[in-house]
Amino acid sequence: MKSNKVINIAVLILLIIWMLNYNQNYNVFLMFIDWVRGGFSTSIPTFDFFDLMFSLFLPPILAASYYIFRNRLNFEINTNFGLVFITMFFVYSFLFAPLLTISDPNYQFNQRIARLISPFESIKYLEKNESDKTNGSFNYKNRIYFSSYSVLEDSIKVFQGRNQTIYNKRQIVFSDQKPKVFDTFLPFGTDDYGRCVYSRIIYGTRISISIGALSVFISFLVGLFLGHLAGIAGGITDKFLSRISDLFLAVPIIFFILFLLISFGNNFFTIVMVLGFSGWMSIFKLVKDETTKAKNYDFISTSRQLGFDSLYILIKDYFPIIIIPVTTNLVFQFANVILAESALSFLGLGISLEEPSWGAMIRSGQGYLNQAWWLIFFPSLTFVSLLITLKILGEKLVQHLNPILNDN
Amino acid sequence: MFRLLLSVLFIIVGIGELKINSLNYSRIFRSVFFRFINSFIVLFLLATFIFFMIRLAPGDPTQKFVSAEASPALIENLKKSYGINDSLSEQYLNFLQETLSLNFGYSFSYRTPVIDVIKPAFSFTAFFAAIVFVFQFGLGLILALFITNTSNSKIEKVADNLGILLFSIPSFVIALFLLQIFSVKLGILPQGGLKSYDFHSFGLLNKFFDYTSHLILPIVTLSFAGIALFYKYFKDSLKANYQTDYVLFLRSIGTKEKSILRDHVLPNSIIPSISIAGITLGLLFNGALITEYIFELPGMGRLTMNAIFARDYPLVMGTTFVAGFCVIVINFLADLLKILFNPQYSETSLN
Repeated sequence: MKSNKVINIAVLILLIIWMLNYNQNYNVFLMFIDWVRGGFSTSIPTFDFFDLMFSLFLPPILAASYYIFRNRLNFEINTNFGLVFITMFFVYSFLFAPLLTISDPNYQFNQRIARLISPFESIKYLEKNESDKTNGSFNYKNRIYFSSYSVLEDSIKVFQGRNQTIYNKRQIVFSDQKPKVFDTFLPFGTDDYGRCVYSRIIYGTRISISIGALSVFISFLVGLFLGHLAGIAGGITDKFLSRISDLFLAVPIIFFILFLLISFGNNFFTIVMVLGFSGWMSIFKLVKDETTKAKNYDFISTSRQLGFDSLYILIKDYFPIIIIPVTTNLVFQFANVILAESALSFLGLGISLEEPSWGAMIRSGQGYLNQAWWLIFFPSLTFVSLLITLKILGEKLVQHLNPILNDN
Repeated sequence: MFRLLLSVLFIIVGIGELKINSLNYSRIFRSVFFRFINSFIVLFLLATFIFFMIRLAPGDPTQKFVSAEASPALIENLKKSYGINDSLSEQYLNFLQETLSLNFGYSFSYRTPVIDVIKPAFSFTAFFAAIVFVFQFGLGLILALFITNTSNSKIEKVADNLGILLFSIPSFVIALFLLQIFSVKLGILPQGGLKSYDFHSFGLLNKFFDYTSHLILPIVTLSFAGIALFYKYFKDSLKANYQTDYVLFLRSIGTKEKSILRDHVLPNSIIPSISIAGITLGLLFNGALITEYIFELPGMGRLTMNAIFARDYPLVMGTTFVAGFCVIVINFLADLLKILFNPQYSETSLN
């Protein structure tokens, strides 16, 4: 199948998922909520902070990447539907997490009834009447979740664990003289605090991908700078920097990361910096080798003698040579960083407890091994599928950029 | 199969001896010497790195070692004994001296010399790493041989995809799934630890079985990724070797397929894997942090992690240095082996 067609089909299916979701819930409203603060009490909706930041940075990045890759985009890679679908799913949930989710990732359904609900079950609720609503119409406080109910004359009796309450016509939404019972479908169940696992997984994509992308970018910059320096200068500088990279390969890097995180506190910024500065060795080596080889090429010595400054030569002459092996390496590096971030969250050193990281979810599921298999199963399924997708994409990229390897 | 592997080992050694007799010794010794110096420099950098890492970390040992009610005189005394009031260069030289004699001081949380704390953990990790490495290397090789011999493309495709899958599943996911199946659902194997609570009452044979039952899940967990890695590597190199001209020549003069595999193809495809084997073994010697954490094994990884969490700086220094030392030594040995088997390797540059 042609890759364009496959991508179109995948986008179509994701749009259908979104439409289905849209009819049931007010997901679009979630776009306007700062979910990190759980700001459901704000009467003036604010746009989703992450998407706001992203939409500020996206246009220049897109423009720059189009400018760089405009002549190289017309290639075809053999793809299959599953690969493209999963890739698109992750891209989509990274960009528009609120549109795919069911509830806010940190929202706890009623603890009495919604704790450890198994997957593919739904939870019922009643909606309060207009006059009783607090803090605007889109508020979870306006919903009454319950486990079972019985309809009486002009009213409804609702059971929440041991509690039972009677609501009448004035308090809740009625249609055709009957109380209207709504459903929230929970595809992956709820966790021990009564939060929707599916929504947490979707929001977890943001954390994994943003940490991965930022720290890969940092290690790319460090590797490019040091590798280029070593390649150009040669001699003692080269030897010294190579020994430093040997050192970083010899030190058990996970202990180094743990040590830094424990000493200097763990938050988003330190994790990105630590993971970024601990993964530059392979890029350094690639850049150094390429630079040493390319140093003697005619066109580079020509542009040096023409008097261009070194930054110009780096970007215009070296960069197109360096970028080919480095790009494939960056994809694998990306997978490694995501793995490292999850491992750190699993050990309890993730970005923070209130943010839904996959590793932290698996960690919390460890305590419910014999009660709730879905707490481990779904996060690790998503996580492993992202890792495998990245690996396959990386191999396809290697095959595309290095046709000689493809023949063997 | 086992006999075949054994004979392969003997043949490798034989080829190494043959090749080394016909070569210029001085060049090889020069190369080995430079590699040794190189490893020594990295070791020195490692010690320096650890020293400055600990210096940069917040807090000093006296705050951890003595209680809050200690008198100022005692604290001053302790500071003097730790040498904190000395100049940085003096401390650094002192540290290097002590490190080279493997004297890392007293652990804060165990209140015994660091080296005594490390010894049991290190012996366990070495034992564990050796077993896991044998599994990874052997099973990877056997699988690769099996797949190349069957030449069934469907089975090969399945095995390749399974290899990618096993290689990319992180160890904590594998561990938790194995626990879920074998400990929780089936109840066959224990959930963690190294011994049962009534271990001392067992006979000798039962003690052995107890150890084995506790070690099965960790070994399987750790082996998967390595098996996939070695399988892919061996399969690729076996296939590449079968396509070379010398195999065609051997076939044309009527050498038996078994002999081609045993005497020519296998040694040629095993020798290049030594460096990867060295890296894998080095990583295993560092202690599998997450596997040891989940299965509560008393290895280097969990010891280091607990030391870091408890801010036990001498122990952290000791374990990090020992782990880094192992990586450096194993990589050096792998280089030596590579030069022994393939002296051309000594002419490639160090980097």
